[in-house]
Amino acid sequence: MIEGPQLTDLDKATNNMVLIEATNPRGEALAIAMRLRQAAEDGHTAALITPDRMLTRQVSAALDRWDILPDDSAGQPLQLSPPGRFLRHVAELFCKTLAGDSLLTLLKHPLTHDGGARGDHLRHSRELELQLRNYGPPFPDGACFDQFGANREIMDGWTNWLNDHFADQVVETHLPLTEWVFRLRSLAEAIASGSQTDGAGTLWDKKAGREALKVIQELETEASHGGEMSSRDFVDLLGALLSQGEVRDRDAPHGRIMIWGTLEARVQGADLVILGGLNEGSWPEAAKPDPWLNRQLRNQAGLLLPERRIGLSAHDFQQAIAAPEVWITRAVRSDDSDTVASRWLNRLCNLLDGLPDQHGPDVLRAMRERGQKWLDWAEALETPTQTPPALRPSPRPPVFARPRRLTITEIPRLIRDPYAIYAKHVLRLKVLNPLVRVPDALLRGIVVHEVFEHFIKESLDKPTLLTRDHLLQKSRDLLEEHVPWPVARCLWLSRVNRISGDFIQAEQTRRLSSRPIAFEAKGEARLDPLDFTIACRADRIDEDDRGFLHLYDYKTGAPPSETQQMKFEKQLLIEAAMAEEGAFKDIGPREVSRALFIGLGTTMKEVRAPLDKDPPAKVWDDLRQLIGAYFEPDQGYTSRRMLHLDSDHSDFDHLARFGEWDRSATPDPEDLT
Amino acid sequence: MNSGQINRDAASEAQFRAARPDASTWLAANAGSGKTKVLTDRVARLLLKGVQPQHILCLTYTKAAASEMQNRLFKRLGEWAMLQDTALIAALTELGAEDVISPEGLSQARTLFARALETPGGLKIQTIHSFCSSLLRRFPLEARVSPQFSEMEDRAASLLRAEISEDFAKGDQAHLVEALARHVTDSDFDTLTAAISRRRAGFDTPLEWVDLLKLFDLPADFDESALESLAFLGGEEELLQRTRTMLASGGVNDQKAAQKLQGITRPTLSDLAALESVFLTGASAKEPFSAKLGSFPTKKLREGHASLMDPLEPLMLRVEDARGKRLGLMTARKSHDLHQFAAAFVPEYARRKQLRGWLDFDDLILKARQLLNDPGVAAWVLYRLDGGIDHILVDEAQDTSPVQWDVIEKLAQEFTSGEGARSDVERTIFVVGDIKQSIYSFQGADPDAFDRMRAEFGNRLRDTGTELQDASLDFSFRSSAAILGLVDLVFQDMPRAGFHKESLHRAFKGDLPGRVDLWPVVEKVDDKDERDWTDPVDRPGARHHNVILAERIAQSIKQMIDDGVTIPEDGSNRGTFIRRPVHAGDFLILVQRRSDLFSEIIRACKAARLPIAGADRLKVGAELAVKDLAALLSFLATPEDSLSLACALKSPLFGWSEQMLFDLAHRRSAKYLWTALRDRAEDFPETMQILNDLRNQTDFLRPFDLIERTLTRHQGRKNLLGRLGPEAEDGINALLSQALAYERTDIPSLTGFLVWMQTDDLEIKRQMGAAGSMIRVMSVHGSKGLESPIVILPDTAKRQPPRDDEIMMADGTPMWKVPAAQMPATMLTARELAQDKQRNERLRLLYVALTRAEKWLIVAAAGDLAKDGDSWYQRVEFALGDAGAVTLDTAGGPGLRLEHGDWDGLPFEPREEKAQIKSTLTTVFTTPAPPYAAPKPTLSPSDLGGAKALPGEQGLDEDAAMARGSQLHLLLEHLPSLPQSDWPKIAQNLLQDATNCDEFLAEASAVIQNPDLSAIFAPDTLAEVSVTSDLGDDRLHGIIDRLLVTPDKIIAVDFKSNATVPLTATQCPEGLLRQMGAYAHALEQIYPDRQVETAILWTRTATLMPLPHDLVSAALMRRLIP
Repeated sequence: MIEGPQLTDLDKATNNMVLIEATNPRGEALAIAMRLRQAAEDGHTAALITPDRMLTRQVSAALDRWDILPDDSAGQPLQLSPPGRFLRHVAELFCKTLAGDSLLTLLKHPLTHDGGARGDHLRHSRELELQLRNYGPPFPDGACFDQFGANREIMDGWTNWLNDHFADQVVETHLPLTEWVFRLRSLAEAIASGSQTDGAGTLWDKKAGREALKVIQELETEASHGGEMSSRDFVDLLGALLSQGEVRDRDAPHGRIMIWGTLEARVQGADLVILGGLNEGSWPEAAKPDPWLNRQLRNQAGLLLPERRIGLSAHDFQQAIAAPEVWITRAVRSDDSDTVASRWLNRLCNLLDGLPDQHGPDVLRAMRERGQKWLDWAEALETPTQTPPALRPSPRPPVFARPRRLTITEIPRLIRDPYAIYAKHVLRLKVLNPLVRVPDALLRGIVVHEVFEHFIKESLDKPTLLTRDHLLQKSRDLLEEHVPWPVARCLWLSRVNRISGDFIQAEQTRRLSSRPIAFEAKGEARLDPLDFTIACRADRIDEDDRGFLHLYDYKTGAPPSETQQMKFEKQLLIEAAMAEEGAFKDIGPREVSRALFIGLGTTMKEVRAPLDKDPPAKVWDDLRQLIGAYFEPDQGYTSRRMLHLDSDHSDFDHLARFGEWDRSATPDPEDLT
Repeated sequence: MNSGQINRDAASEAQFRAARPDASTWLAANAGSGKTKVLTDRVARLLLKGVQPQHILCLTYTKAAASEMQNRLFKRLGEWAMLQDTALIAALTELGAEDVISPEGLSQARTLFARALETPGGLKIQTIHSFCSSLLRRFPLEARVSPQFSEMEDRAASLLRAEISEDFAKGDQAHLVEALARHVTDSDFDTLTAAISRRRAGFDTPLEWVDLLKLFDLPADFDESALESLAFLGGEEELLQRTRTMLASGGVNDQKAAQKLQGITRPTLSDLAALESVFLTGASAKEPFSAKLGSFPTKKLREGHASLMDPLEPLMLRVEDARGKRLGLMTARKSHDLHQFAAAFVPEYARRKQLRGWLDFDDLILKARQLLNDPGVAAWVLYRLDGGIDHILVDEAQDTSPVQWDVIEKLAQEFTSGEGARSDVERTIFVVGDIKQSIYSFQGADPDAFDRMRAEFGNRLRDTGTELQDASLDFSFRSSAAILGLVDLVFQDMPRAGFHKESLHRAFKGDLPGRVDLWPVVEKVDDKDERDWTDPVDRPGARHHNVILAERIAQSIKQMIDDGVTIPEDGSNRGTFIRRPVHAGDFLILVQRRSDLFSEIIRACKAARLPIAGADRLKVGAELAVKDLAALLSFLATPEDSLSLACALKSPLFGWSEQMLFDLAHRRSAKYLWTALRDRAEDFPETMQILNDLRNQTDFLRPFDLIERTLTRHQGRKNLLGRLGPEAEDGINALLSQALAYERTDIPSLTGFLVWMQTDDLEIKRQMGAAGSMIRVMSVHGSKGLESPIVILPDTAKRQPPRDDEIMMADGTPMWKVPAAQMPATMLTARELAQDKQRNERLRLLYVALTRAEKWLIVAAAGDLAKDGDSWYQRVEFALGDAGAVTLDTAGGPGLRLEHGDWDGLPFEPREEKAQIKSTLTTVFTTPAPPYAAPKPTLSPSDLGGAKALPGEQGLDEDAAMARGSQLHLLLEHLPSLPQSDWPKIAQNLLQDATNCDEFLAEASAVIQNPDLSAIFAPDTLAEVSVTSDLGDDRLHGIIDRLLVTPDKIIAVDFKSNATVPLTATQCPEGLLRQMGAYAHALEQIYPDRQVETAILWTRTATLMPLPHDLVSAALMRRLIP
């Protein structure tokens, strides 16, 4: 109130100042980037000064569109550089059971196997990845590497190299630090050099590599004082040590567009200075709480107060803002709340706003308006040209390109989501299994099917084995073999246990009148007169005394109700029709007297296929009608034709661009040529 | 100074009194009654009273509220700092701080801004979590946490729990997991361990088997055999045999019963369930699960077999009695398995968290409470908290959990007990909340605690001789009397939900017109698909009632906007109103949960081309734009992933059509799509240019940078937003922050990031705070604190009762849930209690929903209403009836309307259309920057080419000659100005390593002492002078050894230590001539008005050789024109 009124010529003082108050950090970054772009055009030197590394990263990213690589005074933290990441990945091998993703991450790392024949290495790695995705195991081990190498052309030594350096590296015990460093360095160098040479590949070659080597060597020197530790602690230690290093090796940055930390800014100047990220908590940084002494005690002990850091920050600010042309920028919101403006900016605005007689508010408004112009531009820069959204696809490929063979499990999909059939059979695309497998319903289905197939087969030869104990033993054995997750094993065994009594009772009844004659039986039949084959795999086929067939389908999920089967869930009804058509070669055409879903979920549940209401001959005709329709040129493969719930998921929804259209959208038939 | 009395209206008076800084106050604040203002006022008045900012602690419920309060406070204080006396006095008077109005007081008020800004450690306006977190960071040793602890994310917690479970299952604790496995299906395991860790306090003390028996009202030695001998006394085998025979002779029902008893010989425990189904009434009976005495079997049989009934009826009664015990025993067994597991799991979970230095959200509060409860350190901690907290303000107190109350209580302990290190200081507590708005029980909020704590604090303050001021804010500054009147009617007589009789609503804007409309219910429609499976023609299915309602809402909004329907708005003078046409931003649509109806409404509004802000929450992974980027990243990580490549190609990132993809994919002979694409690279130059660039970067860029490169350099953001619309931006930004979060927690790699994305089911809140120009649709929970001119409540039909918690609580003891039909009495009671709480909370949720409306509330419903009249729709309907609403014609038939004030009689003001100015960009921003041209290196005069020495120079090699030169230069620079007697010593110092120091000194001395050269070393000459000038297009920079400046002449002298000295100037080596020419050239630019001469001083001979100007200029020209 005393000094304020004496201030004069506010307009002159602020003439070269611009105030940017962006709605979010991204908008701030974009406006800054545009100003820097302008500086590059004008040949001026310009510097962005901020302690906010996120902002600088966003600005750098935005500058990339104009091919500007700013000269950033901060380098990349060593632990994030290629060798830093490599060493940390290698160290992780000591503490986590090797899983598909950790193996592939390391195999694909640019420093891995870089001592020679990297091309072959990458080729093998890709094959191995596909192998793991298709067939597992989820936790690759020596046996799996051997098996992979066995029937392929693999360069000599590659599988051994995998075996020696990736399989089974977990260390459960505490080891002296010297030992950890030794192991890490040997393993890292062996992985980096690869299977064809000794040495360390290119691991230590580049600038970041040399820095990393320095850290490792220093650790080697000091390790004897480190004592014993677990692998987890060693990984943390390594990460912490590497994070202290920094690498600057950017190639040919722009010489006039600079990004400085507040400290660097003190010793340099530029035509244009942009003070970015001016929010409390960022500039000045929030004071770190001192776990040992409070402010008063620090003061009494003559120690520096935490406020001193803020004082230094204020000094940085003061020096920087005195440049010839100054931009002051902040984001008004970040994440999900408002930000609080930096105290200095707050004061500046408050001062100007409170001096109406000297036109303070006008001057402030002018600063904001100058900024708004750039914010508008930034918005314009990001404003996309509207393009029409994708329509609900219903492609009509030429008839010759349409599928000539489907399995019965695909029939419900053809009814409900024809586009999925198109994508799979016409475009020949399929979902790749995830790299990280989890014990899901799919795997459970496979294992449970196998358990019951084995169990029934064995008890067929030896009826005394038709017991609960044997069923559980079989389950235990197969779970052990196929399910490397202890909790899932335990839960699934418990599931089998829960239904075992009911199942055996029912099975004993079944055995009285019929006996199994086929398991996992493949069948196929032509749907004359269409040039089309329908195929299936029957879980189990029994034969009774009269020679009639009994079809069984094990379901680990909920079996479809009779009503559902009447409508869409046709697979077992079609299977029955196929059996009567003679689809099973070794069995020949036979009458089917019964078809049954055996639900093996939390309780055992049997659901009949309604052969009486929907007899095989009719089903066969219906199927012919359905398939026939898809041989009409104007029949499109509509996406999600009958999937009604938006939550019903199909593998090809994304390809069909579901989301750009919704379920009320009219399909867009498109003749493909 | 004159303080001037101010006339406050009743609403402001209430606010003013609540903000009194000297009275501890408990404030109940209705919705829209301006409690944030009271909070800010109170802090301001505390500061005015001279309270140091660091002694104030203000706890808010959210981070957003904390920063909003800070900003409001800074704004207020900032204004004061700059106000003239009169204006400041007015401001302080309005605030009610007349007592500080004095010259000192005013200048004090002006300093508050700076003091608040610079409060050491910052103003303590924060959430209780961040307060506890900073408390623990300050006192890690006392709290026994790692000083470097980090706050654990949900995902990390889930992984850690899974890790422990896996270790248990394969180790010594396998039996614990096996025991649990008997009761769970596999998908529930993580839910269960999550529930255990959430309820961990309940497992602190291990529960013995007998305790569990007691919990379920069973005797201490009870077990299965006891149960069996209770139910079966012997002889039942024969009794049942006879009963079956009897039943077989009866009617249909009797025969059914006989069927059920089939196969029971001598009954055991496992037959009890079958016996219950025959002998006991069902769940829906008047007296459920009681023996069917006198009603089983059918009358005819009963009367015909009296002798059988005599032993049968006692058995039936025993079965009835056994049922309760059986359920109790089963539930106890199940809960026992849970407790056994938890007893091992909970400590192990804590141990592993500690090892990693992780604290979860609950830990922050629990550990802080522990710290403050520890008598050994609590006082010390409080004392050290920057000298203590004297004033505590708690916002949204109804949502404070009991544990959090504990923390607050401890913080306030010093002054409620009247003691403390600084007992002379005045201390207050201020708690503001609205029990009617307590809707966060799932986050631990306990509305009952609000009243309990009021009494508690009241008592304790009374003990210290002060009072707790009990106050309320009844005026709504937000809503019309129409809405407030309805609210009072809906909630009359519901004290158990928190609606006290006395807390009625009053409209501050009494004349503000308002409406409450009720639309007729959309009847339930099943949209089961009845189409024939053999006919694949595309036909629309039946329309679900939710779809019909959603479309009705969209159409109504559209019509209201198109027809220019008006809405009241505040006029320019206080208390006056105008009306203006509605626009999309006026509409707020609130649902109870994000269900089908929710997405149908968004869909319908989009289809009607209404501007709508999209869902208020989004699952990042489910966003189409995120999927598109993920597909591209998947392809980059695994080029053989043909489907991902195809998805990326069809995405807006590449914009391929179905036909293009068909052509490439169907006709390919290669196995992989990528191979096929690469083989036809020249057909798709744009696609290949992007893919190749990204493939080259994949190994080196971190995921964040790789995504940014796609978005920016390759126009990804523009293409995605252009096709998917602006709301795709939120998904993209969330993906970017996810990439950053990933970098912080994991070692970054593309493969790792993709796995992380797949397993991380991140959901983010979209910012929808202030009304913009778009329709907002959100959950009532998300709307807390918001308001809108028009509110539509479409989700008011019957709701299923909430699902039971996996782990239920009976008096603090965790029980593991069993299906409702099998619950023993203890669990049923607990369930009833929990459901009762839920029902009350749902009422409060309705309160929050209704009070969001300013002027117009529209209530609608689709599907079944509740039979007992419990649905929101019915409650509003009844209240409207009571209030005398009139029939209203609506799109769906007759509805109801309640109206207040003269809506259509208000003066009409057309809405100002904001002109949209579109900025056009100059080409600078659409083209790459000009390549950076590094400035040419500066030339040095000694590097202009030409020989530096005469041919045949003898003795020394080049390096040695250079060294000799610099040594001599050093001496010649420094010695002349110093006393000769010191020269040897100085020479020693200057030429530290030189072996032939003496020789150099001799040579230098000879030069300096040569009287012919004295002018050169005169005190007014300049040594070592830097000069810079242009030389053609280049820049020249050099240092002249000695410069003699006179008014009309400049002489530049350079020392040369050549061993062989030329005899004449013309014989000088070319390089030296050029150098001197460059000096001359530079000096002429500096001194254009003077004559410039150059000369070389040959040290070897101590002679000065002036160089003719033309000679050196000509030499320089030879450099310039090579």
